[in-house]
Amino acid sequence: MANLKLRIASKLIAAILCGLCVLFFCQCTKKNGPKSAEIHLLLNRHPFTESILRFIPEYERRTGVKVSTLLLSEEEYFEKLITELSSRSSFYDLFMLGFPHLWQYAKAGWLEPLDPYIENPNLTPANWDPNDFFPELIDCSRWNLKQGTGIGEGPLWALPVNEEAYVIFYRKDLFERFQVKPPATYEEVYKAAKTLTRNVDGQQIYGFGHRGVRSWSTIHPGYLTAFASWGARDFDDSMHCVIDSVQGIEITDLFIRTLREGGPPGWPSYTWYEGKEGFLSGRFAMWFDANHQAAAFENPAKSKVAGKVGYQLPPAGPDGQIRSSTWVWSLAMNAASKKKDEAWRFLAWATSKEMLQRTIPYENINPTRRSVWEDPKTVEATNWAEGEYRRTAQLLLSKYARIRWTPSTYVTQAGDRWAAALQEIYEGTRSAEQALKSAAADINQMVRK
Amino acid sequence: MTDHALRTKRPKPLQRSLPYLLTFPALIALIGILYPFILGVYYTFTNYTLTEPGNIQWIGLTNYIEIFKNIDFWNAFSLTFVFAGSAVMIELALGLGVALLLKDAFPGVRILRSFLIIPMMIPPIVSALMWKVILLPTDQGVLNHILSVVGIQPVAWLGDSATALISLILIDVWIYSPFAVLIFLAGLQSMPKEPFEAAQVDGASSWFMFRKLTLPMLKPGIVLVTLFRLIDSLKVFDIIYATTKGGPAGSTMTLHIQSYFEAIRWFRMGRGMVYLFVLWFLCFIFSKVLSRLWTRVLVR
Repeated sequence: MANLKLRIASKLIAAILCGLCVLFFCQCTKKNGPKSAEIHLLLNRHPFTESILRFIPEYERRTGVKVSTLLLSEEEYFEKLITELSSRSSFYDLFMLGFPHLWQYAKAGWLEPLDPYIENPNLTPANWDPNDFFPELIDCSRWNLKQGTGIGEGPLWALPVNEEAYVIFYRKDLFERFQVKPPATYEEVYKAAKTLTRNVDGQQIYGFGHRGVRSWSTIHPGYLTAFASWGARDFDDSMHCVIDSVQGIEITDLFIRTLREGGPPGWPSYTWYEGKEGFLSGRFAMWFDANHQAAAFENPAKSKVAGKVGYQLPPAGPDGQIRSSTWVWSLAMNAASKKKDEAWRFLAWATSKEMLQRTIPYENINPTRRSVWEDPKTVEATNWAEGEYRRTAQLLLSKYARIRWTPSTYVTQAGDRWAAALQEIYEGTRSAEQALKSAAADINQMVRK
Repeated sequence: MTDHALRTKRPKPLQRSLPYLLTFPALIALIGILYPFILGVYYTFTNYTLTEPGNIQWIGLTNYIEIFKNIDFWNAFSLTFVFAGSAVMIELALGLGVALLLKDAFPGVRILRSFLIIPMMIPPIVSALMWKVILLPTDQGVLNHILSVVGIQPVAWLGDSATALISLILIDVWIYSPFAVLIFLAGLQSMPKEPFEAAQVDGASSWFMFRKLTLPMLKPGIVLVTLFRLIDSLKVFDIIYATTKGGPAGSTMTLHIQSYFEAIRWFRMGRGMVYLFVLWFLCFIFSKVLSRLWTRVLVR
């Protein structure tokens, strides 16, 4: 009798387990199956995404399309994205990227060209004006898939939602108090950084801050700006890495010396999040990074330095010319998406004049549309330091800021190796010449493969 | 026995296949485990790049030869051993010390034992991020802030190649020492009292009893902790990823982190898998040696 009961119980348990397995399997299948009224977005934590998320419920109510989002911080975001795209998953329909990723993913065939959607009147509202985007930013999103050339040529792979160029944020109060002039050359940056690294009213101040982690994103802002100002390049026309040129070694040495003698301890551990926090909390006299961080610095609720920040264009190089690196965050569509029309409609909505305008109060500056940048509401919201911010941002966008990377699929790999070389110089394990020559040799080996 | 009798005794087809049916789920599980492993090993012989999934070519031992010739590999190899060896030794010593302190009953010992396992209950990545904040390089960091009170200048714990690896080892020790304490505590509490009482009657010193009785009787626990912690420390990823990502200047670049850079950040899946295969091989060797040692200790 007991045996019979045991047998019945085991059969019941087995049946329940089988049922659960079937249910689980169905759920998994269901998740990957097409859903006409739902799109999925993979997003990087950024003022644009954090502001657009506020308006998504409104979009869902208006269109009946459910929009699911996954928001991750930058490093984790790109890891998740590469995993999704390389497995040709159709789960995420839209995602954010910058141009190095655009070059990699477009070449791999993972991005949907957007020109046909823009030209389709059934999908794009008549008042969605493509010519309103700053042409320089649209150029950043076009590429002809040829290594080493072709920016601004070929299909449009993404739509820009946020632009940044690089300025030296500086503490006006400290510069005035210690009688230091805002630096106009990189030698002056070095001197100012050394002078201002001191204890001020009981708080340790560090003269100069910049990102420092072992990542291509460390190369990209102030350092690449300085590097380009010195006339140095990453690759020559035959895609040979030339970061170890005489000019490259000279400016790298000066830049790292500035960080070592006038920067915070532990520079190699700084991401932009930590550097920004350092400036917000009043620990840096200068911070060389994306100009749109001004929105946080000028917000008295977040910042100890609100109203005390000056905006200095990047210093000129030896030839007297100012050059800045630039970065564009864009939204792109997954070529494997099964809901491309719905995804495009959302993309068109998120990049419309109205929506970009509505994201301004939530720190999504700088806008990528001319009409939004010139709108009186934007002017009022960004008129910091008596218009100094807008003047520098305007000059950077129109005159000085360009993509300083050679277009190729190697930017992130090369940049990571290059950043490792900067850390070696900072740590004193190698001279600038040794570290850059070694990095250039490694990068050339990567490219040859 | 007649033919008829033999035929009737022969098991029915269902009974005959029962052993195979019973082992079938284990076989499925084995395939599930082995397939990714074999695929990973296969990739080590190819030029597989994540951005070119349609262009996987067999390149033989090229990846192995290139990586073994590269100084970065040997740097990562030695750092992996330094990290794992140091962390395990400190955890063993600390675990044993704390277990000896907590083995006897005294007021509050239960609460202390409960508090002790808190680090193990926090996901390692969260612990690592928490420590990253504590070890921030300026006086924003909790530790530097405390040190500044007594006039010590801020130290770049995770941002200086001289201190980064030590800081990571200490984070690992903070997280995993409680595991060693728990195992040793269980071992100490299950020891027979008679040998100790006899030694006491004979006038043996505490140090003598510790060397000649406690340590030999704790051997299975010591081998067990070494086995688990060594394998875990060799393949540590989360703590380093969340804090230094292998920097500064490669001073915390272990094999696992290097494989992450190769496979995920630089898309070179073939090369990344070589690092992982070497790591697996090391773990395999150590686990074999230690598990044999454990069996021998148990038999004794």
